[in-house]
Amino acid sequence: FAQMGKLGKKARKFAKKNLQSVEKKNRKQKPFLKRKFAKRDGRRDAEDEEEEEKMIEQPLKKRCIEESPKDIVIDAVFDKDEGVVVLDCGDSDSDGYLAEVLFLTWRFDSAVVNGTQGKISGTELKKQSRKLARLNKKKLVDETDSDTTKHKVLSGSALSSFSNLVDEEQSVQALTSLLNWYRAACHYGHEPSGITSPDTCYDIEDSETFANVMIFVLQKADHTFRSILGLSGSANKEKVLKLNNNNPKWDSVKPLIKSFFRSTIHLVKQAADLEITVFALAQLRVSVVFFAAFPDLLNKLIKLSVDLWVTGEETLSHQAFLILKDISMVFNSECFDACFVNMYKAFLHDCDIPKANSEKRLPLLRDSLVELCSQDMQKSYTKASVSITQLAKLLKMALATKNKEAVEKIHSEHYTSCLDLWVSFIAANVQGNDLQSLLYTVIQVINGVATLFIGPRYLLLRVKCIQWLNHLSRASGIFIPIASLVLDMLEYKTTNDGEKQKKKFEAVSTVKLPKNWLKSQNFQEQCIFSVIELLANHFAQWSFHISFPELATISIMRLKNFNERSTMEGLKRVVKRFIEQVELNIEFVQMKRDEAAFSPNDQQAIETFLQLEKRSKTAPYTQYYQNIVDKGLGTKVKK
Amino acid sequence: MGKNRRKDKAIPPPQLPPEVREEEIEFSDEDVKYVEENKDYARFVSRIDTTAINRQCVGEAKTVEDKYEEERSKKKVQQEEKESNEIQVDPVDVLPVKTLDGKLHFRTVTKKSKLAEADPEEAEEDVLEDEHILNKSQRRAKAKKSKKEAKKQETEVPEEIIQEEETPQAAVLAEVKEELSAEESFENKKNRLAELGMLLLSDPEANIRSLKEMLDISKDENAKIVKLCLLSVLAVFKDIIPGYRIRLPTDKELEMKVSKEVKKTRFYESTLLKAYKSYLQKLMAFERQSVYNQVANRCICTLLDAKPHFNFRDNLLTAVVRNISSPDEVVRRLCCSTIRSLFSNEGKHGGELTVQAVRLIADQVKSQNCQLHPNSIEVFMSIRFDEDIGKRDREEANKKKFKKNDKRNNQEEQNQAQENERKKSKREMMSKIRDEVNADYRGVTFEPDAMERRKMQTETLSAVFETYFRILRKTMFSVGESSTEEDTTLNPGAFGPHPLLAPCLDGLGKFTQQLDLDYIGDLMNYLKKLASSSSVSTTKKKNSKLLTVSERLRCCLVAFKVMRSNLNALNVDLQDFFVQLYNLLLEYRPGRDSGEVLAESLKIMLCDDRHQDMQKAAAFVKRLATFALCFGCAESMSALVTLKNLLQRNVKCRNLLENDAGGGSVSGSIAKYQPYATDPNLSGAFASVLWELNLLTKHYHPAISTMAGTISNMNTSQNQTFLSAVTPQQAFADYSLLKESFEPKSESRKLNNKRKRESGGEGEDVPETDMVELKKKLKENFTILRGIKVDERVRMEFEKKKQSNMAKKKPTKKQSNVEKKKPKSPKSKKKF
Repeated sequence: FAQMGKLGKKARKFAKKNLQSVEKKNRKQKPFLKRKFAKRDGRRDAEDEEEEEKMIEQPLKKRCIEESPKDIVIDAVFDKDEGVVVLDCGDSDSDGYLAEVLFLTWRFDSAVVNGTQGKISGTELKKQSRKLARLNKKKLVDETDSDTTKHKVLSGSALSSFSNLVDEEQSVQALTSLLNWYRAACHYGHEPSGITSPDTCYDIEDSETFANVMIFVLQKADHTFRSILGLSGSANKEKVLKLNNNNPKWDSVKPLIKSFFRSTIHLVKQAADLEITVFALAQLRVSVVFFAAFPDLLNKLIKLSVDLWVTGEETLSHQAFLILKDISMVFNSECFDACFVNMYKAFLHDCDIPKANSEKRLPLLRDSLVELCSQDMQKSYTKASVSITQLAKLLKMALATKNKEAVEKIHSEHYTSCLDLWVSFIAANVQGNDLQSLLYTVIQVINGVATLFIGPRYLLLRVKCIQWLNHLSRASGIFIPIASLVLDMLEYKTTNDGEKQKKKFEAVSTVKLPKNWLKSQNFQEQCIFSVIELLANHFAQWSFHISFPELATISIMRLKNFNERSTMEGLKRVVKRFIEQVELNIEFVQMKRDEAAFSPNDQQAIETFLQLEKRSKTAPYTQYYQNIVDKGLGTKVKK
Repeated sequence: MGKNRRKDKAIPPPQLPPEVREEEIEFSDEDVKYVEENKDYARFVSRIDTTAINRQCVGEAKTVEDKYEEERSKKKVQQEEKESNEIQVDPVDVLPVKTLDGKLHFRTVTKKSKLAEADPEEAEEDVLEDEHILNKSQRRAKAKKSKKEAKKQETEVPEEIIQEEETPQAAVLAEVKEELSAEESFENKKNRLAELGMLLLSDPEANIRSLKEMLDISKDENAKIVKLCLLSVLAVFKDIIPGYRIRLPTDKELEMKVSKEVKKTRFYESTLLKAYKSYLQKLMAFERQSVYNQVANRCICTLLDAKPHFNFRDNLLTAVVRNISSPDEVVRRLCCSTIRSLFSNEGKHGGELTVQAVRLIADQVKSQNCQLHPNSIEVFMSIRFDEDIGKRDREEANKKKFKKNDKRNNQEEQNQAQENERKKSKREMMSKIRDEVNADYRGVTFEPDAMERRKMQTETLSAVFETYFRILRKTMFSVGESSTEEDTTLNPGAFGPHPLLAPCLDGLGKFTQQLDLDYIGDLMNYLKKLASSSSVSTTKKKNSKLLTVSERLRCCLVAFKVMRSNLNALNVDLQDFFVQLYNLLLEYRPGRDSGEVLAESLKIMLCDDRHQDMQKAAAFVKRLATFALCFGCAESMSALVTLKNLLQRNVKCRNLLENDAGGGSVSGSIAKYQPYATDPNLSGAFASVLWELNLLTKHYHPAISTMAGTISNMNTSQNQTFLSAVTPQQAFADYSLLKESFEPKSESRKLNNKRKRESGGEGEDVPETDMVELKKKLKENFTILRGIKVDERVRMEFEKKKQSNMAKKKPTKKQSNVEKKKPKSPKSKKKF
C-alpha cells in the first residue's frame, strides 16, 4: 500500500488497465488496513499521552537550571499525539483516495445504469457492485471508441426529476445518482486532466443545473439520510454507531454518506469562493454525527477545519470552529484532543506570523479556542496545567540565570499568546470551577514576566501583563496589586535618557518597541495614557471597597509627583483629571466608612459595604471610568 | 615505553637500515625525482634526515612495508646502473630482498655490523646508560630540533647533508617538514611538558634543573603552548614550593663549611627560587598582554592563594590588587576571590598579607578617586577582626597601641593580667639561643606573636576605615555640591555614580564593633545627611549624583547598626532616620531598589527597636499596611510581618484594628489621618482603621491573605507576648519570585464542564446564507471552471494531434480516445 503511493501516475494507470486483480485485492485490503491503522493510532495516542505526562513530571523534579531553554517548548507541548494525527491524515490522503473514488464511481455508474432500468434493487447492488464495476469498466474501455452514450450530461429536467424522487420517495437510487452528479460538480474542473477515469462521462449541462445540484444536495442530503435511516433530527452518536450492526438500510446508505462527505470536503477544500465554502461547511456541520462511521474522514475534516479556522475570514473561521466544537462535543475525548491540539498549535503558529489583521483576528481565535476548552474542563485543565508549567519553567530559568535564549523566548509572540490564551481560559472558567492553583501560577508567571522586562522598550509587554492581571482580578474577584507595576511606567519618561544605552537586546519584536520611538512625544503620551487606563481599571474594580482610599494613596502620591515634574501640559491635564476623580471617590468612600460601625475583621459587613452604590453605576468614578474605557486612551494609539 | 622501544630496535633493524645508509650517502637527481614522485617516500626521507635513524626505520617498515618493497626494487635497478662506486650499496640492496623472501635473520645480522657505523655508539651507550636519562635525551632530540643539543652527532650529520647536497630539494623538504612539524611539535611539546612536570613532581630534588627547561617552553610562539606551559609550571610550583620561606645563604654562611646534604639543599633552594623568580617575571610580563591576561592572572592568583607565605608574595599581591577592579569579569572575580581567601585564611601568612592587601586597596581607592568596581571594596567583608587576639600576651603594649579601644577592652585585660604574668616569666626562662632562634624564625614563620597581630589588625582597621570614610566623604561632597562643574569633571565611569557607596555602607554596618567612638559622631552626621538627600524633593532633576533609595536605606541601616553595637552609648537622635524610612517606604520601587535592603531596614529599625514611640509605631503600622497594597508578594509579606510584629509589641496600636469612632482615647493631637504626612509623629495614624487588611485577605497569594486574616483577628485586649519567628528578610526571601516553584498543585478539584449545550442558541450565531447570492456565485464558479476545462481540453487535443502527426504509428486506443473527445469539444465551444 505504501509502495503504491510512490508509484507514478503512469504506473497506476497501467495497473488499473492491466492488473485488475491487483487492483481488486487492493480494494479489498484497503478498508481493513485502514481500520487497523486507525486502531493502532488510537492506542498510540493514549500511550503517548501517558508517556508525555510522565516526561513532563520528571523534569519538574529536576532543577530547571540543568535544562537548556531549548528544551522547553511552548507550542510543541502536545506534539507527540498531535504528530500522529497529522501523519494519519497524510496517509489517508495519499493514494487511496483515487482508488476509492474510482471504486465508488464505478459502482454508481453501474447503479445508475441499472437503477434507471429498475432491475436491480439497492441491496443487491452492493454485492454485485465490484463485479459489475470491473465488467463495466471493461465495457467502457471497449465501448468508448464506438459508443459515446455513456457520456452523461446532466440536464436541468433530469435534475428536477431526480430531486423530486429524492424529496418525495427518499429513493436511494435517485439519491445515488444525484450524489454522483454532486460529486462531479464538486470535482468539476479539479479532476486531474490526464486521467481518463470513467467519471469524465459526467458532465453538467449548464451553470443553473450546477448550482441547483449543489444546493439541493447540500441542503437535503442530511435530511434524506436521516429519513432513510429513520432517525430523528437529534440523533446522537450512539444511535449512529448502533446502526452499524447488520442494518441493511445503513449498509445501503453508508457509501452514499461517505461519498457525500468526500465530495463536500473536496468542495470545501477547493472552493475559492467564501460563501460557497461557508455554506458547505454549515451543511456539513448538520451531519457531523455521521462522521462517527468514518474515522479517517473525520480526521481529514478536523485538519481541514483547523486550517480554515486559522486562516479563514471571520465567518468562515467561525463556521469552521463550530464544526470543530461539534466534533469535540459529539465524539470521544480523543477527538477533543485532536481538535484541541491541532487548534492550539495552529493558533500559536499563526501568532508567529504577523499579519495585517492579526490584532483583530487573534483575539477571535483565542476566544474560540477558549470556548472549545470550556467544553471539557477535565481535559483542558490538564492541558492548561502542562502548558502553564512549561511557561513557568522557562520563566524560572530566565529569572534565575538571565539566560539570553530563555529571555528571548519569553518575549516572543509565542509565549505571550500562549499566556494570553490561558489567561482567557482561566478568566472564563474561574467562576464555578476550582482553578485556584492554575490562577495563582499564572499570576505569578505574569508577575515574573513583568519584572523580567524592565524598561521603556517593553512598554507594550508590561501593559499587556497588567491587562491580564486586571482581567484575572476582575474575573475571579481576588485582589491582585498592580500599582507598583503601573507606576514604574511613570518613570519611563524621566529615566529613558540615561538608561537608553543599557538596552542590549537588539532583536526586533512586536513586543518590544524600537529605540527611536522612545524619545517621541507620542511614546510618552502613550505611557501616561496606559498608566491612567490601567490604574483606572484597577481602581474601578475596587472603587467601592472599603479600603479604596488606602489602595489609591501611593498611586496618587506618585501621580502628583509626576505632575509636579512634568512639562507636558496635555498630559498633566489628563493626569490631573484622574487624580481629581480618584480623590473624589476617596472622599466618598471615606465619608461612607466613617459612618460604618463595623471593624476590619467583620467580613460580612464589609462585603455588603456600598454594594448598592456599586450596582447603581451612577457614581462619578464609575462614569469616569466608563468614559476612559470608551475612549480607549491607552489601547487605541499603539503606533 | 623506553624499554619496549629498545627491544623493538634490537630485532628489526636488520631489514631496513641498509636502505637508510645508502640514501644518506647519495642523493642523486633520480632521488630528487623520486622524492617528488612519491610523497610518502619524501616524508620518510625527511624523517630520516632529522631524527634517529633506527626508530624511523622501524616505524616506516611497519607502516608502509609494501610500498617500501616496491620502491626498493625500483631503486635497486636504477642504482645498480649508475652507481657502482658505493661498495656498501650493492650488498645491502641485495639483502633486503632476500630477507623479505625468507626470514633469514643471520644474514642481516652480519650486515648489521656495517650499518652500525652510523648509530652504533648511541645504541650501545643507550643500553649501558641509565634508561631514564636516555629516554629524556632521546626524546628531547626528537622533540626539539631547534635546540640542537649537539650531544648526538648523527642527528647533526643528516641535516648537514641535506643542506649541502640537496639544495634544490631543501625548499620542498622544508615545507613538508613544517607542515608535519606544526602538529607534531605541538604534540611533542605538550608531551614534553607533561613529562618534565611528572619528573619534577616525582622527585623535585633530583630534577630541579628541568624547571628551567619548562620555563623555556614559554618562549614559544604558539599561544596555546605558552598557556599550557604557564599552567603546568604553576602546577609544579604549587606542589614543590616548600612550606617555609626560602632565605638564601649569606656570604658568610657560604664561606662556612657545610655537609653535602646542606649543599644539596642549598643548591636546590636557590635553583627553585631562581626559577620561581623568573617565572614570576614572566607572569608579570604576560599579565600586561591581553592574550595572556587571564591565564597570567589565574596563575598569579592561584600562587598567591596557595602559597601566600613564600618569597616574592608582595609582588604577587600587588599584581592581584591591581586587577581587582579589572573590567574583565573573570579576572576581577579571580582577584577578588583570592583576596577574600587571603583574608579568611590568615593562618597561611600570619595576617601580614591582609594588612598589605588592605593598604594597597586603600591606596588604589584613593588614586582612582573612588571610581572602582564595587567588588574591590566588597572583599573587606571577608576580613575577620578578632577581638580576642593576644588575650594571653596582652600587656602594656596593648595600652599603648589601643588607646582608643581602652574603654571596651579594659575589663578583659585585667582578667588576663595574671595569666599573662605567668607566661612572661616562663618566657624569660627561655635560653638565649632559643631567643635567637626565635628571632630568626619569626622572619619566616607565619605565627607572629599577639602583639604583632594586634598591630597588624589595627593597621588593617585603620586602612579599611580610611577607605570607607574616604568614600563617604567623596559621596557627601558630590551630593552636596552636585553643581554642573562637578558633573562634568567627575562624570562617572562604567561603575555608576557612587559605585563604592553600597559596599562601603555594608562594610560599615558589619564593622560597627570596631568603629572608634570618636568617629561615630561624625559618621552619624554623614549618614544623616546622606540619608536625607532625597532624589525627589530636590529641585535639580536630572542629577544622577543623588543617592538611590537603596543607598539611603543603607545609610539608615548603618546608623542603627552603629548605635546598637555601641550599646546606644551616644546620645544621637535617631528620629531623623525613622522619618527617612517612613518616607522611603513610599518612594520604594521594586525593580529599581533592593528589596533585601528594605526588608533588612524593616527588621533592624522597626522589629528590633526596643522602646518605641506609640505614635510612631502606629504611623508605621498604617503606612506598612498601605505599602502592602501596592507591591508584590515579597514586599507585601515582609511589610506584613513587620506590621504584625509592631502590633504584637504595641498593645495600643491594636486599636487600629477596630473601628472605634473618633479614634478612641489614644487618638493623639491630630484628629484626622494624614496619609501623605512626611513625619510619622504628625500622621495622626491613630485616627485611622486598618481597612487594608480586608482587601489583603482577598490577595491572590494564599500566604498573604492568610497573614492578613490572622492580623485582623488579633486580640486587642490581651498582651500577646510571643513574637513571630519570621523576620521581614526571611519573608522577603521566601516570597520573592525567584523562590517561586511555579508548579500548579494538582490536588483534587471541582470542575464543571460547560457541556450543557445550549443547543437552541447554537444556530443563531451562524449567519444565514443568502441563497440567491450563493446560487449566483455557484454559477459563476461553474462558468469559470468550465472555461478552464475547455481550455485545457483544447490544448490537450492540440498536443495529441501534434504527437500523432509526428509519430504516425499510434496505438488504436489512443486514437480512439482522441476521437472520443472530438465530438465533445465543438459542443462545449458552441456554448460559449
